[in-house]
Amino acid sequence: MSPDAEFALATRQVEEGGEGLLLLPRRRRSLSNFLTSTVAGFFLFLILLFLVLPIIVIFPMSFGSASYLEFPPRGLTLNWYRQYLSDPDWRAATFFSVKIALATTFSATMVGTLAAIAFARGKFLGKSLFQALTLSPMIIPHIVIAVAVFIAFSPLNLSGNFFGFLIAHTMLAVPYVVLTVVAALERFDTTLELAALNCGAGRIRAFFSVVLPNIRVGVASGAVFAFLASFDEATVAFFLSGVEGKTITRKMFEDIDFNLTPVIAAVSVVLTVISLIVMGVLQAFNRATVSAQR
Amino acid sequence: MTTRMRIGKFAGRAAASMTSSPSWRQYPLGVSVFLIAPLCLLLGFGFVYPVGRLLGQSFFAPEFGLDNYRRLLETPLYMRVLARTVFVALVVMSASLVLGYPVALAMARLRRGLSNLVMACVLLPLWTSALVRSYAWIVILQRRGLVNDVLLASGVISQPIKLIYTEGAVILAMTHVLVPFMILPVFGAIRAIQPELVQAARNLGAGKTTVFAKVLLPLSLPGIFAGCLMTFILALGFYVTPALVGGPSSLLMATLIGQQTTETLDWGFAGALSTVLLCVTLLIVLLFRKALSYNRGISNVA
Amino acid sequence: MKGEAVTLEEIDKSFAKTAVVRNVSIAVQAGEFLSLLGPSGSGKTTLLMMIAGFETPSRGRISVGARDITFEAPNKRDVGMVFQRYALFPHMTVAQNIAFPLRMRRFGKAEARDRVDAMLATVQLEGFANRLPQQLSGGQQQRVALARALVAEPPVLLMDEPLSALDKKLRETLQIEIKRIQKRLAVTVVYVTHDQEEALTMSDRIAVMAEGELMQIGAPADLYHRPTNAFVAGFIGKMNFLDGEYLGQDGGEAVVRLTQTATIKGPVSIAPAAVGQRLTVAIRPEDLNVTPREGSSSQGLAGTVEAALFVGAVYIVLVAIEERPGKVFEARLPAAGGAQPFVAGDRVNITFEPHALRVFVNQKRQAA
Repeated sequence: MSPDAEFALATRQVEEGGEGLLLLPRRRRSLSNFLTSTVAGFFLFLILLFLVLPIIVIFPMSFGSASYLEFPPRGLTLNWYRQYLSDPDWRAATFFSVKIALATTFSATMVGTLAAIAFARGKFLGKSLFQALTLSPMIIPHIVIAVAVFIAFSPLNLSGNFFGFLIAHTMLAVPYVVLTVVAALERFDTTLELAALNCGAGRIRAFFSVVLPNIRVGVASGAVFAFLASFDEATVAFFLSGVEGKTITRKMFEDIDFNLTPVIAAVSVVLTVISLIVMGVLQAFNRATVSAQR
Repeated sequence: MTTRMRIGKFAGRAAASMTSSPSWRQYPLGVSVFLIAPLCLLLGFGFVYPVGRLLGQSFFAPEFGLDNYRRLLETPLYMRVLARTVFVALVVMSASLVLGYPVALAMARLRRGLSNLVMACVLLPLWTSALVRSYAWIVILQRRGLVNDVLLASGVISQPIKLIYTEGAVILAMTHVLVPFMILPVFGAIRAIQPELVQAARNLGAGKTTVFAKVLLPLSLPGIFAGCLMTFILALGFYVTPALVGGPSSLLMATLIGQQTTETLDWGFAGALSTVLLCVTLLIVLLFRKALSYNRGISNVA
Repeated sequence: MKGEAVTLEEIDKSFAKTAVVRNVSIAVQAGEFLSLLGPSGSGKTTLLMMIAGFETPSRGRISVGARDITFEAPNKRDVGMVFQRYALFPHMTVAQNIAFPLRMRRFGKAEARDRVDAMLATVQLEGFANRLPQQLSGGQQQRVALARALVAEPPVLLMDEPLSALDKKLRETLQIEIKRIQKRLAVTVVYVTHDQEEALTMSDRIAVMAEGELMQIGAPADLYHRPTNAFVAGFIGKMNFLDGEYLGQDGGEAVVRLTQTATIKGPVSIAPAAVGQRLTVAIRPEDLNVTPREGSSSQGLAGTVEAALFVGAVYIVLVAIEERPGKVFEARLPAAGGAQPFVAGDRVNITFEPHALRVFVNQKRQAA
């Protein structure tokens, strides 16, 4: 390229892309850029690998025939999955965890949504104090909550059973629901509710006909976070589990310590896939709702 | 106006102010209390009562007094555990910052497709249970795990090295679990920076490093603060990962509390340890808040 | 549908310690189109909200027909309302939006559908029944809002600056439509606006408000030709103001000295003032005569032309008044195909008919 053409090209790029007054000849500029971006890209790739590797690793582990990680895996088998699904302890734990997670989702969404309405649109004293209190289960270290709940619930016969878990997990999950629903309510235009009232709807009718459909995304997000907060939760579940009421996370804990086999890898894969499916469904729901209202 | 009308008006107004609200954009007091009641009950019984009881027990078991606290402060073992916990939390926070900031930067600055890919790599670990991730690290770091296999196969070492159940393993695994909590706030802060500022800086002759040091870094400081605060606090109280991946030589406050609760059954002492952990957590939160408002004050002038 | 009268008696409203509406009494006749006109902060929207039931008066009474609705809940009042930003429910179709008031009143499906269809025809949106609000333009959304407010045949329709978000041409079209629908349905309308042209076009009567007080209420022509205070004089249409010195009465008229050369006599709008007091004199641009001034003799106000602006039907001539530095009078002279009457720098006299003058005792508020 002739020097004139190069200069013309560089000038045009300055005008178009605001690349600054760095009128380096185009070739040299792109080489240094190229080098820095490849080196940067390589480091970025390493960090991303660090983030993703452990999760990827459990997949081959669960299908490999050896009881330790082999790469490449010598034999593929569904043995570990079969063991997981046929073991009565594992099944009981899974069933218990799912039951609690669903119950927690329901109760946390109810309690959290009602409270969110009060925070966003209600009128009472000490609102900021209450808000801080509601969010504190998220700030206080889980070990403190776990130990406190265990020690307090044991004498009340609430340790190791459904109701104790329901209370504890709902308490952990509610902050997520409150956060998402309050955000959704604050984005909601209250004039719509006034219009509903003007059309003859009572407060409750107006809420269900007009407000709720428009905060669907917030409520759904809160519900999903509540589900995962309960289902994936390990610390409180560890201390609160008993002989009959044992969560899948507690059982995993025990087996990792005393019975480390790739069955755990199979269980991990199942847990991860469930979490991802649930999150994926939420994203799809949110995107569909948002685009329908656009 | 007749007397009857006056009385009726007064009664009407009194009734209205009790059941309705001056402005219909807000829900009246009665309704608000009704709405917040279930949460109050739940938090009261499920949170305030247990935590209060635990902390209170530290003063009452085995007998009334500060024995538990004295024991904690006077036994070098326990003080070492506290120091180690804070140290590990600091290291995890710093590592998260070093690893997380570039990722957040990439997420905010890359093209749509690549940015989404990076975001997927961040959200994937975030959405998987910490338990699963800790287990995965065991698989990677154990004697016949991934790292040892690779090192043995490439001839770097002849014998598998002990990687798991060490303090290093705890730091590594905890960093992996907590990095997304650093990335997300920083990403939010960088995304909020107007691209025109970077363009203006480049136009004025700033090179890439200057742009980073003088424009991006200072403006993303609120996000960095938030991320550091979150990772530090989470690292302080983390139980699952140290319990699975750490060994007796790397006892942290969380695992110590767990031990005292389930094995030694010394609930009073567990309470004392918890109180100390809580106090340290709250102290850090307050310090960060102070530092953040100080920083905000400066950047508000800008 | 038969409109009913709306009566506001001695309405006060305060938020915290600030009085937003002060002692306002208005009697809207059944079937009348009344505008609440005023600048922002005048309390007009608050007044409307009180009629709708979203705010409660601190004092006073509101009735529709014979019903006292002062403390009734907003969902029980049976008044239709059109909001500034339409407030259409985004998750419902146009038809569902319009049917909502009927659903709340437990109408049967078939009858509701008939009414919705009739309403769509009235606002000229047939065929839009299954669209979502986001798919409509601003003007169409406003018409849906109007349909929704009227479908339950309320006796009163409230409108809160409904056309302020639309462009001029669209606004004019919708003004005519709203007026047409109102006349046909004979519904009482209370219309809030800050645009005095809009109020003049559409209203049977206008209530002008400023800082919470009712300044004047009357038919558009009354307010235009016979304003009772300086604020209304300046707010409605364009007005020239000048203050002068009160010299006393002469034959039932006030004598006011404006400048060394100009002394005028005019009807006084307020009770006569003390000699020597400053009064405000007001006259409309179209009532001014502008004639060239030769030599030093002058009749009326002496001035120099600053500019002559051609705006199609008229020339707007801006004249700087001598002896009153900074004071510029605006005159409107018919353009009638002729050449420009004046150019900048011309020395002129401004004269007017005495009966076109309004004289006010100086008040706090004066709109320019």
